Amino acid sequence: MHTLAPAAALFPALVVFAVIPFGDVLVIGGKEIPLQVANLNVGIVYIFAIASLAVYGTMLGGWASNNNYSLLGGLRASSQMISYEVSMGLSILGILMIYQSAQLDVIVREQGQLLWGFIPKWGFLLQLVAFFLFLTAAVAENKRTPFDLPEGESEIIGYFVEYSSMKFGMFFLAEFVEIIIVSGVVTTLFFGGWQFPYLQADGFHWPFEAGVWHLPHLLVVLIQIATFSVKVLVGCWILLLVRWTLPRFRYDQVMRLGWKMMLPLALANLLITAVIILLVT
Amino acid sequence: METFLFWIFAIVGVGCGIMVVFHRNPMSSAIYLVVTMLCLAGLYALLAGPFVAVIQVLVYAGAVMVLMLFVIMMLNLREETLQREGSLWTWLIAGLIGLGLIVAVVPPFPRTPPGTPTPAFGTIEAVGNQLFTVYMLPFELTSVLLLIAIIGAVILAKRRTL
Repeated sequence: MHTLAPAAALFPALVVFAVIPFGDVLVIGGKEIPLQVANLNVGIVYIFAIASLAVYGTMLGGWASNNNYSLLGGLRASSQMISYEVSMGLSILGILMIYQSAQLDVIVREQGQLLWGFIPKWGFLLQLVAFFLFLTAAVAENKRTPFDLPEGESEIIGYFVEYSSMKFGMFFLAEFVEIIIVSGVVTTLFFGGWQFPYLQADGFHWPFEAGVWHLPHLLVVLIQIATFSVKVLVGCWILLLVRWTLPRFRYDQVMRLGWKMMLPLALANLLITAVIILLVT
Repeated sequence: METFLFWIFAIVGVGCGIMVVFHRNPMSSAIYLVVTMLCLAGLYALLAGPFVAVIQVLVYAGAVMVLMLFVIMMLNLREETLQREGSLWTWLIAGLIGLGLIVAVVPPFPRTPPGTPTPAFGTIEAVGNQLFTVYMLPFELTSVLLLIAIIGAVILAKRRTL
């Protein structure tokens, strides 16, 4: 089980990316290729299901080391991850309600529409609170500063004290892959995925009927993929910026933030979104 | 391909289920149970129920079993703390009851080949529609049951701190 733990930590991080769309449909010689590995009907739920398996890596690592300090570290890490999973799941329900789907490519396509004719209908404009809640919960889930109590490389002893070389490396590889995943999910849900403002399948449609600038199909697809990559990179940059800016929380502060502030906020956000949607439609 | 996957999931699932019962170490048993849950999710996915499959992973493998492991870690249960319990007679009676259960449960299974499901079958929309129209009462009752469990847990926790 000592060997199983790093693998259990790395596996979920690697398979989540399968459902994130990185471009619209590519047509080559009449054949349509969706730029998404697996287009699941349950896209978002799949992400959460796999992400919830990530806890096993930390738990097993803490347990199998046969060391009281790493056992405590494992308990600390897993209770933090369980706590923040709740508000993470609740925070994105508003997005599901607005775009009426759990399918990630549908969500991205919906975000290509315009608000009042000129603002792209991106998720963070409609769900600002949810965006911040999701980002915070995702950082906590990812066990990075300011929520890095499970690790605290230099001061607190974490769940992987007994690990060395590549097994330790796999724990950290998982963590850094998760940064890209979090950034990809945030891009998909809140920043329009591969949508470039005003770019549609046949070229730029400028707002207020200001004309259409036609582009070849291949160039459009390239722009979409480039847009997605740039958005994800900016997301990674912000996450790393947070990591080197903020000091670490105390453990009781982490728990209080998770259960007494973020959970009620996420519920309130959900309720308000539901009421607004009911009033508008 | 589907048959091949079915046999993989079935054999691994049943094998791990047997290991859950026979393993002495509670942690190993719990891990085997997780694998069984994942195999069940795979079977649901093969039965054209993607939503149920994902929820199986999310709820059973991702939440219920995590809490179970959490308890095992908290109590720090190791192999030597558990005694082998029960005499030969208990084993025999338990086996007979299990055999009776199999005999009672297996024959009623329909042997007719299943029809092909509609494309919407098993999607979030279809499951939600069923849950909130046909199965509304069981759904609400389940949520009340969960609420009772939560309240009970809170009361038990409170009493200990007082």
